[in-house]
Amino acid sequence: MQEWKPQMSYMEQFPVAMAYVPWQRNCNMYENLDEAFKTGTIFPELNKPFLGRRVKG
Amino acid sequence: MNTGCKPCMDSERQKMLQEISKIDFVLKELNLYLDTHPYDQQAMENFRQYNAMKNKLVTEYTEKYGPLVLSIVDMDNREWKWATQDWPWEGGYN
Repeated sequence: MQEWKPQMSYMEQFPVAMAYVPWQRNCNMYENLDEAFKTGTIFPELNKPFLGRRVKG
Repeated sequence: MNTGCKPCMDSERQKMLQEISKIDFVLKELNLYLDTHPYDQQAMENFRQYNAMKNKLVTEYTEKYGPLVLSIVDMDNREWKWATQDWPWEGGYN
């Protein structure tokens, strides 16, 4: 059986079947906090609306 | 306007409550960020600033409409407003 190789080499250091959530990196905040309140976060970095398709970056 | 509530909330009071909840939201977000970045000076400064803003607003709200949280109760010793003001289900909204 051909051994599966992860596309990204650095992934090899992690055990299989474990979930990883990279932490937030910086504390930049939205200027307009009313808008942020509606958006649901004050951090642009965490603003990831579900668009029903894969989003790059 | 919702006709249901007895002493309908005037818009000024509702606006103040909304302002307070928005600041609570910012504080909670900063709190969660600081939990994973406990040495981020910028975040701590932001938290300090918004926390001070919240206390000011809640104190103003308390003077105008009565206590919102037990930790900020204007003790005028004649009346324990916490109990005598309208309860939330009576449209008291505190």
